[in-house]
Amino acid sequence: MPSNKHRLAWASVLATSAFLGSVACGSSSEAPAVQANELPEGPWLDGADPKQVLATSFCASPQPGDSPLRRLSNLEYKNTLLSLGFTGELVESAVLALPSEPESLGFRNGASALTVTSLMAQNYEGVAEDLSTDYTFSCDSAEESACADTMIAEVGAKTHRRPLTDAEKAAYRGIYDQATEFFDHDESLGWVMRSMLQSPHFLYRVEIPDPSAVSPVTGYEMANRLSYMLWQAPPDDALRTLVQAGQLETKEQVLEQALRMLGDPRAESVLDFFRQWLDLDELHEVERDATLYPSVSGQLASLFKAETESFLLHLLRQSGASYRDLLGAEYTFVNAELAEHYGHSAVEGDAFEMVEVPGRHGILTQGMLAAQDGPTRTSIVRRGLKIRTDFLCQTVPAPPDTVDLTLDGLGKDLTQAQRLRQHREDVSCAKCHTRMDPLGQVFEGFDAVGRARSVDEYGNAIVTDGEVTDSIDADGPVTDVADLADRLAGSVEAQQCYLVQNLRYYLGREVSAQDLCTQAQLTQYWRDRELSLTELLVGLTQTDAFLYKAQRVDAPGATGAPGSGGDQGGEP
Amino acid sequence: MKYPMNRRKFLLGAGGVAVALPALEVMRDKRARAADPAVRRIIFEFKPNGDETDARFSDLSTSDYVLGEFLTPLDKYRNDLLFLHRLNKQFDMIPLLERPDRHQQGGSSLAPWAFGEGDFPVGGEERTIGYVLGPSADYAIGDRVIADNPSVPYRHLVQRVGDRENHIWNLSAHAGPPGQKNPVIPETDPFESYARLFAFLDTGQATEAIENNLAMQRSVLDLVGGQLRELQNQVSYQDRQRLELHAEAIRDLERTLATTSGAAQCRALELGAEFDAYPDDSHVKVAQIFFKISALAFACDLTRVVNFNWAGNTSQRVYANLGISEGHHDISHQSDGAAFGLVRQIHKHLWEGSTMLYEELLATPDGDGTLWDSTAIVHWNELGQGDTHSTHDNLVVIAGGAHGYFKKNQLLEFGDGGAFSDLLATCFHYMGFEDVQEFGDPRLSLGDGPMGDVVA
Repeated sequence: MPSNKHRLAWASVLATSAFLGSVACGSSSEAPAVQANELPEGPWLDGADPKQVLATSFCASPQPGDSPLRRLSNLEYKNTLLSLGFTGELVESAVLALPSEPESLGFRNGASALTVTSLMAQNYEGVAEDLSTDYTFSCDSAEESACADTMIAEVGAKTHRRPLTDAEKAAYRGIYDQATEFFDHDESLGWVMRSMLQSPHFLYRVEIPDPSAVSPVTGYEMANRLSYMLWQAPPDDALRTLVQAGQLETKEQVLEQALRMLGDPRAESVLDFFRQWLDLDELHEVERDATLYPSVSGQLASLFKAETESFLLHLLRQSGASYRDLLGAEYTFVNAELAEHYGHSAVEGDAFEMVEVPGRHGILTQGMLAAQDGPTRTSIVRRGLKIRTDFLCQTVPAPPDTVDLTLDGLGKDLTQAQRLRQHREDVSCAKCHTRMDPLGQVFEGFDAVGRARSVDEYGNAIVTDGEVTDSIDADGPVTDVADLADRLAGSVEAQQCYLVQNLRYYLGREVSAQDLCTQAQLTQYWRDRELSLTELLVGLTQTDAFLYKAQRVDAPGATGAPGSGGDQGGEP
Repeated sequence: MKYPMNRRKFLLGAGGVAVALPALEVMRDKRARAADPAVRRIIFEFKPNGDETDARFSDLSTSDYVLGEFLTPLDKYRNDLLFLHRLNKQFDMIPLLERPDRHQQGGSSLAPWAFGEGDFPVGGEERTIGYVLGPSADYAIGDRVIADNPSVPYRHLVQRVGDRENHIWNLSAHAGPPGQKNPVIPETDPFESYARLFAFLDTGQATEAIENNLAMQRSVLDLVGGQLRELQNQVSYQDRQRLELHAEAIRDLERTLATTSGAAQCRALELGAEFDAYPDDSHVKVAQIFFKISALAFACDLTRVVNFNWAGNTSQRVYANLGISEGHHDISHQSDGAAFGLVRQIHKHLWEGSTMLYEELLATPDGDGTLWDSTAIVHWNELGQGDTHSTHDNLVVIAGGAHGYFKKNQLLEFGDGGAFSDLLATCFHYMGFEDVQEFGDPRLSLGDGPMGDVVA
């Protein structure tokens, strides 16, 4: 995690630099010159000038960072099975049984956490059995042996997401031949399918590193990177055709495909990043005290999720929609039921439509906030923590031993915010709570079920004044959530955090000092395109981390190991 | 996959049982089983958030102890219980900067190792931590069991009630090996668990068909294993380690293919209508089914080790069934009388739940007795007391006949001494692995070997 010392050093740089409307104060001037080999301390770019970072000798050669072997996430696994032609109902029920992936960096697709343990192997085996039972493959050839060879080659190319080698074909043929001793032709093909669905070449997105150098990602490996990034699914025929023609080799060719794929309906899969970043996938766990919230619909979690997803899709379908719109749009999406819940009457039917609702200001004012609250009240602390950790990418320690979470008894007639203020008078509590509570305070204008309010659960008048502290460029008082949202929208630190979150999710790993060139490339690309949400994704495909893969490392500390102090030229 | 899973065929070796008769009455049949009556079993049962140390007992006499309010559900079983009071986990022996917070370390007490790097925030510290660097006792004991008994297909069962998500605050089982982070994901849906483990009870297949399937499955796993080995030679060392874990999982699968179960008590269960396992108010029903599954798994000798978790550590379950409207973790951090009243209420409820497990074991015949006679249930908690995050004053309860290995109907007062990891070493001895003198990081042990104090 970036040290505070580092952050303070770069704060002085930001105070005199003029990024795209990102700094509210100070005279405009260029960032101080960076020496040719001087890189930010890292691991993040923070306020460093990306052009100057890219001018360093470190960035003169491709710096892809770590390129871990990535097991398919549950969503990718499901989409990959669907692409093989299995029915939706069968696949859905199969995948429903899979355990949730372990969380890492706030996401569930981290490569290091996606292992195949005994439970997963048995689940995969069970899915393979279920799907291969009653399996059939249509052949032009009536001759069963030739048909088997055709199935192995064609289906194998899809399950492995590249053509099979002769040795692989022979191995699967061996399965078929053995099976025909006991089973008929179709059942024997089923055994071949069952083998393929358990193959590591199916379960992982395999990329073979070069043992001697950083190398470009090309061909089928690039097709996989593009399709799993933008569609959470394997490559389509168009990508495969390009690979076969040798036309997915250059940065420009990758760009062209990224643009095509983002225009495809399958690109809605990028919503998965937002579901995890914004905790939309935790909304189903939201439970509220029926006595305090008697008229709340049991469908509220689904409604909140649909609200935010509709909003996000609306933004993503406009190439010009930006990070600022994400945080500051003065509309939301509701259907009749959600509109009624919000106290808004002009919507009819089940479809979600865009409405301008006073007080609604981007995603921070949508119902998904309820994922942070408790069963009986809002949680200023957890709302503030969400902003601090996921919108500013800072670490806040978990509660220490002996922490007393009692707010009651500090003053019954006080609001939650006032009780927390008293709580912060304890020095041991203040250290962390000064970083959370003033941020969470601004959300008090919304109750624990997402409705605007002027009094809290106990009838006390709501006060939404808060403050941003301990940031590089966003410090200062804020009057309400809209003010906070606008502050974050204009903050370089918050913008960088959003960029880092995207890198974490789409690369499936932490962002390290090895990724400074990638961060600089992406930052410049994104700024040049007015912080467009979709252009960020396109830009990601143009970075070192996406276009190249790390050299193979055979042991810890060996040449080329990330952070190993190896002898790569220009390593920071 | 929906229960019943007619299409999933867990295959037995020749001579296996293939009877699909529901009815709990069959489980109470007193016919002698074919399996070895000397088999030993162990269940680690976890409860979250600590309790109230001074309220556990109103009399601390070794033999005439009096159970406190929230432990009263155990009173009728006291003749087969051993209470370890104020047992220390010795976490203070790890330097502060190497430790996670008490919840994180407490929740991984079964894996008493140092922690690796990672991104989970540490309580009260400006740093982050990763998962523990080594195996948990259930995994390690299970490893020894299957090494000595190849006919036992599963190293262990890992079960957790509630929480679909997985992270450092709710994963208590770890695969290691020492030096590696490998959390083991638990099963959280009891219906899926039952279907996965016991589909063989519903095959209806003839022996030849079973053998043909078996042969093909072995070939498939051989092929997959070969591909893994080849891939391991082509990737970086970190990926090689993860592929090795995958290869180990394939070997586990191969072992399950060779399962035989001659136990007369290995009969299908009637689980009733499926329900959503994740809402807070499902927790008792979910636990009940997991207990049935564990008993049946023992009866079928599918495993001899279970790791059961009432929740993850820091559980925020709302016990609305008790009239409580705040999360458990939040309550556990409050130090007033009212909060402790709720803590006692919750733990009494959970201990009542634990006795459901006792009844399942008591109701399942095993040789001339029942599973209760051959099982040790080790009840543990991440903390001693929640509001102080104490880990020096833990309560551990060892229940079950356990072949008479442990002392019975006694309260042993450790006075904040002893070492939990030494208790785990003792569990190895109970299971027959007497070569184990220490388990986990040596700093967490007293260095005196297993705890003779607890042995009969």
